[in-house]
Formats: sequence, C-alpha cells, structure tokens
Amino acid sequence: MNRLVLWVSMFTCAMIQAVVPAWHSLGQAKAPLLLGVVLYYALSRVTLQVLEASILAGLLQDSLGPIPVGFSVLAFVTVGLLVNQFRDRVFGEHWFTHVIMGIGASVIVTMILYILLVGAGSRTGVSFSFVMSKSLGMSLLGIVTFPAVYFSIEKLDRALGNVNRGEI
Amino acid sequence: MKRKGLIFWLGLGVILLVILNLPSPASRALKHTTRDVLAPLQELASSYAQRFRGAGNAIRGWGGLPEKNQELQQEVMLLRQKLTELDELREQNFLLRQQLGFQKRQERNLIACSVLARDISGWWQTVRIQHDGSPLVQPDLAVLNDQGLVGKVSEVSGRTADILLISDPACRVAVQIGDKNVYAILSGQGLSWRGRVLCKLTFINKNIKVQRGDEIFTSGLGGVFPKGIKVGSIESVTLDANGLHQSAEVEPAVDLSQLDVVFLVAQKPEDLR
Repeated sequence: MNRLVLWVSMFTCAMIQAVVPAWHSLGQAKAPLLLGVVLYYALSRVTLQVLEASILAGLLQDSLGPIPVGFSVLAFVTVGLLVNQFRDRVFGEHWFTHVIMGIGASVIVTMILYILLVGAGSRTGVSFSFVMSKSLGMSLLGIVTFPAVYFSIEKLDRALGNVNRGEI
Repeated sequence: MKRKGLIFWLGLGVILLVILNLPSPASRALKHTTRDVLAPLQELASSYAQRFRGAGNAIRGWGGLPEKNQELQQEVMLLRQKLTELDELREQNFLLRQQLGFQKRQERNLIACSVLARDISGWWQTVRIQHDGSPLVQPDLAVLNDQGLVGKVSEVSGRTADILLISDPACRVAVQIGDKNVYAILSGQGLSWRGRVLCKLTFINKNIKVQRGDEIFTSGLGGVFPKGIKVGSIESVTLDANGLHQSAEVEPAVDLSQLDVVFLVAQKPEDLR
C-alpha cells in the first residue's frame, strides 16, 4: 500500500505539473508538485523510501521533458536526503515547516539543474537573472503547493492505513 | 555502523552515476516508453485542463463552444494554407514563364494533432502533442496553426512528439521580411517579465528600411520550414552597437499560450524513402 500511494501520487502530480501553465513573469516557474511529493517522503519516511521517491520523481520529470535523464534525479536525491537529515529536528506535520523547507528545496533544485544544464551544454542563453527569478517563482508556488501536496498524500496514507495519527 | 553508511553512500553514488551516464539509446527508450505509457493519462489531464479553461473563458464572456471553435480553426487553417499555396503558385507561374524552366511545386499535407502538455520543468519552451503513430511524423517537421508558425518537431516517440516553440532560444527560423527580399534569422528570446513572447531578428542590412508593423514570413531557406508561413510582425527596430546592422524585435503571429490544436507539415512519402 505504501508503494501504491507513492506511485499514484507521483503520476498524479506529474500529470498536473505538465498541464498547469508556467508562471511566465517569474522565470517560467512551474508548480513544483513532484518536488512536493519528494518533500513529503523526506519529512515522513526513512532514507531508503526517500531515495525511492526521489529517484522516481526525477526519472518522471526527466522522461516527460527535454532534460537529460538523471539531472532531476540528482537534484531531487540531494534535496530529499538533505531534508531527511532534519526530519527529527523539525515539526514535520506543521505547514510552516513545509513552507520553509519548500522554499529552500525549490532554490536548491533550480540551482542544481541550472549548473547541470549549462555545464552539459544542454541549455544555452539562460541568464543568471532568469534562474534567480525562476527560483523565486518556484518558491512562491511552492508555498502554496507543498502544504497542499503534503496534506493530500498524508490523508491518502491514513485512509489506506499506511500511517496512524501521530505517527508522522 | 560506519561501514554500513559507507556502503550506502557508495551504492547511491553508483546508482546516480549509472543513471547520469545512461547510453543515448537507453535514455531515449526510457523517455519514449514513459511518454507513450503516460499519453492516455496526459490526454485525460489535458482534456480536463481544456474544459477548465473553456469554463474560465465562458465566465469571462469571451469564450464559446470549444468544439466549434476548434472546427473553425481547422477550416481557417486549411483556407489560409490554400491561399498561401495559390499566392505561391501565381508567383511561381510568373517565374516559370520568365525562366522557361519548370520546377515541380512540393505537395504538402497537414497532420492535425492535439496538444497534450507543456514542458514539465519550465526550462524549455516546448509542448507535447499526440499523434496517431504515423511514420510521416518525424523530427524537424514544421508546425503551424491557423495564425502562423508555431515551431518544429524536436523529438518523436510512438504516440507523442515534442514541439520546440519559436519562442525558445534553441529555435532558429530563416525568414523574409514582407515582400522586400530581405532575409534574416529569427531566434526565440523566451518570455518577458510580463509573459510576452519575444523573438529577435538579427543582422538585417542597415541600408534597408525596416519598420514597425512589417510582416515576417518563413523564407523556405534552411529546408525545415516551408516558404510563406506567417511568423509575426516587427515590433521595434534598433541599430546594433557597432552600427553595421539592424536588429528587430518580433511579435509572433501565434498566441503560444493558447495552443490546443497544431498542424504538422508532413513530408511527401517519397521523401521518407
């Protein structure tokens, strides 16, 4: 059931993320729904499950877009493991945690992807100001999407008996 | 405990290295399989998104019946295509009479495809379309709609294809300014802060008078885009810093944020042999 929730939430978020239009004025930022799923697992599960979620989310994002395979995987794994380190030191269920972690994660993922894309020559003509505005846009969208994604998956997990109240 | 940690990090490193260094055919196969498997789901998500947008448009008062609109779009598209073809035929006829030569005009057919999704990451200016698996759908085909040029096919899988929009910096189009016999290269510049699509024409001869409102058409040079497709119109003209050439900002004819149906300009079957 745990894996079912992971896959269902991943595919649903990937579909929505692909359809939802980008925020043009802020670096074409897209609502970071897949990153939201990674954050949920990073804040609520053990390292191996975080890795599974990060790799799946990364592969989905890379497969459904022109990004070379592996770039998003690396970004999501880095962020997932980083947030997972703080899991025991923060109130994982509180919306404020999601907001703060979400802002940090958005910026880190955008920067890692920028470095990889420009370094590999896959994306040219991208200015640093574009990346900054993209980070800002993703962070702002993340403020709205991370708590929503977190509480939706948590509700699904509870409904299917994967976690009990107070367990997360 | 320390040993376990070391093994974990080493294992993770190996997994990441393998994924990052997947051979090109394997990574392409992974992408194509994922896209084809998820195409029905994307279609479903896209149809809901379209309905949502249609409802939004209706509420705002400028919407209508989406199906009728799509039908009319296709009709206008075909009529404009015919008109362009007739114009080209007339011009060609004139040239043929002059040169006493003969050049067979290429017969092109259009493949209608619905738009499934946009780039999931926001780093590129692409849309994904669904096609019927026709072998005519190939990379580098020109893509247009009833308003003008949309972009070109960048990648094709069994049931889907990615379209690189003309607003993407990686998309370059050989164009002609109006009927002035002035040729230039148009390149995408992404989007402005206000979300306006920006394209730029560079290296225009400084002695030729180019002004705001001049229309831009594909020149047919370069082999990707057929001649005579409307690309946009000039918004502003500036002289380069070195004073040798002019540059122009171009407003695309197509509203790239509202793409529901696009048309691929298919090659002739004999071209595929």
